Amino acid sequence: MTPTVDQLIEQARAGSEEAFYDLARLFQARVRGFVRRYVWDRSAADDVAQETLFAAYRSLDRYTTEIPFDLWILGIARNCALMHLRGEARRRTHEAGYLQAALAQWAADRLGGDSRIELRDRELLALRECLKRLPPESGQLVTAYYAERASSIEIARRTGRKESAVRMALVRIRQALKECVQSKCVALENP
Amino acid sequence: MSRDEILELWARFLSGSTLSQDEEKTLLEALRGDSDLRAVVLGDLEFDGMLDAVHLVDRDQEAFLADFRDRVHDEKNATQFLRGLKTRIEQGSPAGGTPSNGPKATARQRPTVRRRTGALEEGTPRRNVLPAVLAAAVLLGIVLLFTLSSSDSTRRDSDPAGSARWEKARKASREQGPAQTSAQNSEVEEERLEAERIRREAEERLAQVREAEEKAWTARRAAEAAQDKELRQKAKTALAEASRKRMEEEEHLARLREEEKKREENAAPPQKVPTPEEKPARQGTQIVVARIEKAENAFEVLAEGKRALRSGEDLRGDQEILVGEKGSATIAYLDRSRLELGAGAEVLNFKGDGGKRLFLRKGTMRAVVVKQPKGEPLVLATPHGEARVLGTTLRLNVNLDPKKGTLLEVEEGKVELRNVVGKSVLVESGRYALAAEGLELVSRPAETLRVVDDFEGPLAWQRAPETPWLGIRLIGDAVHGGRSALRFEYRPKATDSETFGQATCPISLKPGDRALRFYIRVEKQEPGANWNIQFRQRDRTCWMIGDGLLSSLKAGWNRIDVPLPREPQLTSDPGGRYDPLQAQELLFSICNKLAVFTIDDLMVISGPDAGTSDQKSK
Repeated sequence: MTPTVDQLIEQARAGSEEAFYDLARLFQARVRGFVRRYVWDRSAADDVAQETLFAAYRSLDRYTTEIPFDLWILGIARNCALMHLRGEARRRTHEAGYLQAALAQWAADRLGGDSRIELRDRELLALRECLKRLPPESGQLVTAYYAERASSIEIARRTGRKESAVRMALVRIRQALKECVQSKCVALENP
Repeated sequence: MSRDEILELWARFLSGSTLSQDEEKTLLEALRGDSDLRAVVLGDLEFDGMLDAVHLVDRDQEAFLADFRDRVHDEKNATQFLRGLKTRIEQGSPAGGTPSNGPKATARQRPTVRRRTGALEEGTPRRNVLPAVLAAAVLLGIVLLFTLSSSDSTRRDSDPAGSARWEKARKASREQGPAQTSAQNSEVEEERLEAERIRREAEERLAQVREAEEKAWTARRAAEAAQDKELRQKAKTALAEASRKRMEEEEHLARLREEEKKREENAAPPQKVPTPEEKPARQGTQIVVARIEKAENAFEVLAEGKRALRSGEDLRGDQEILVGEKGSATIAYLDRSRLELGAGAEVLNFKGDGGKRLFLRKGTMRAVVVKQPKGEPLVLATPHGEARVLGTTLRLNVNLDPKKGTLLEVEEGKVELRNVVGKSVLVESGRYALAAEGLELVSRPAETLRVVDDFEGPLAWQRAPETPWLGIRLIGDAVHGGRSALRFEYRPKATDSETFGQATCPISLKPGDRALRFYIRVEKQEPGANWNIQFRQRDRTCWMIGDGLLSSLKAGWNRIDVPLPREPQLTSDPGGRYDPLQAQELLFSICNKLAVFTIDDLMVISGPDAGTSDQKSK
């Protein structure tokens, strides 16, 4: 019988590393999704997500069941992402990457002022739903760009379109998806 | 640039295209100036991340979880690992070999991570040993720093009993007589000072750990370039360890501050009144490195905006200073070295002890540096390089445009200027060097002046034929230097066909000339009276070089520098190409309103732009 989250927490607290790995397996997608939203370098985002899981591992004995475990761990993810962004702003400034430094600082300010972790988590769930509803052509474009990591130049070459047209198509798809996510989250908040 | 063009730039940036520096600058300025646009692009960035995450997290979760297992394993053995790494580096095999406690990840196949930023693929052969050596060296530095830090790890935490003693003393001071109270106060004061000392030590330790974290980042980047999978894993672990230590220190420091705050709130104020110098330090979040000696229209940049700096307040290492328009600030170090920041200067990342350092992002700075300890130069870093100073007087002018770069002028002593590609030049007094993109780094003689007319000889100026009336004559009663100066007198009448008076003199410019300089003293002027200077070229085209309002000048002599513009305004037909080397005549005009003034010592400036004039023309 598969243990519940509470049972895994208890086992992990009792010293079972395997139990914590199971918890990490259960929550990694949400943690990575949450972090990746704010940390735009994929590799750095995974580092921050790992830092989150590790921080949770180290402070598991401080966890109280007053808040759900997923929100607790996403709260840690938020703090880790914040620290990363602030550090990134410092580093980029030092390296004279002013645009990146400013973006990191603004992103940190935005995240620092946003405590609606649960809503942000839901948005990711809603995005998965919205992606399923995309017209086939748009879906293929999104898959090529995000899943296959093809550049807009590459996609333009494949589809015989101009690169700027591919970029604009992606902008429009993102906008449509944003609207879809917003409407879904409103529906979730007001069932 | 229109909003649509900015959004197009943004779409290119988001899609991973490389923007030119000018484009990045344009985008940054547009985002800085428009909070709505900023919200839009940050929303875009987040959504892009979400889309990436949705496609990413399901596919390579096994690799991620494997990494996490490795991480837990490595972190548990972090000290052992660092010790092993130190031994290995000391044995001289920074990039090769298999450590006895090497991470499991090396044996596990993971999906290749391809980054839009063009990072290197895993598993490709090692191509360059230099980055590996660099990464290893930095890692060794971190190991040593941690060794030092861990020797310090038997922290003298703030004594919980101290709070109780403090409270007891406070009670006693109420209940006991003045003599006993005085003794008790002394004990309490000692406690307070001890707590402050512990807090300061914690701040220093945090600064060290932060520095180690920065180095760990550098090591990680170098390791990525080295293509050595094993070294990359080590660099990653070292970074994680550095971050963990930093977080621990931050938590510890926060606890100390909280206790200190509680202690102050609970206790009666000590007899000793803190000096003004102590107050900001007690509120600070970092080590005090210097003091703001003078601040006019100068600010500290905060996450939520900015606050005006006050003269006399302490300067901490983590502060960022911005000098506003027409502002200035002077920073004084304990050793009496002084830095004078000019209008528009932006400075951050201050370091005080063990070699002073700061980062001048842009603007001008004059530094008067007393002799620094051997091996610990004051380092003035800029986006284009760094100046290492052992004791001298110098001036730096940093332009955000990489082609204009960082200009170093040395008034006294010697300064080493190093550019971003690692080339350095020693600049001696009376010389300058420019660290800029595409320019060879060389030391040149500083600014030279060439007299166009000092008005000591016969009058070479003429009234322009189209001018209705203008008095020009040499006078000897108000001069800037020598025996005579040139006096202009313009008194417009309602019947005049033109609203300006103009005088001309011959001029000849050379390559390397960068500005005109003259001195002016106003006797009489009506509001709105202004002056301008134009060049008439051989092709008879006239180009506006600079202008200014007489009302903006101060009483007495004013020095005016008129930089030779890159693209001045054409003021006459037919159109032609601007080329200052083709200038034959200088036209000096007085416009609109009554004006009586004297000019003297008209010169041409060659060499660097030091930005030292009382006033520059618009």
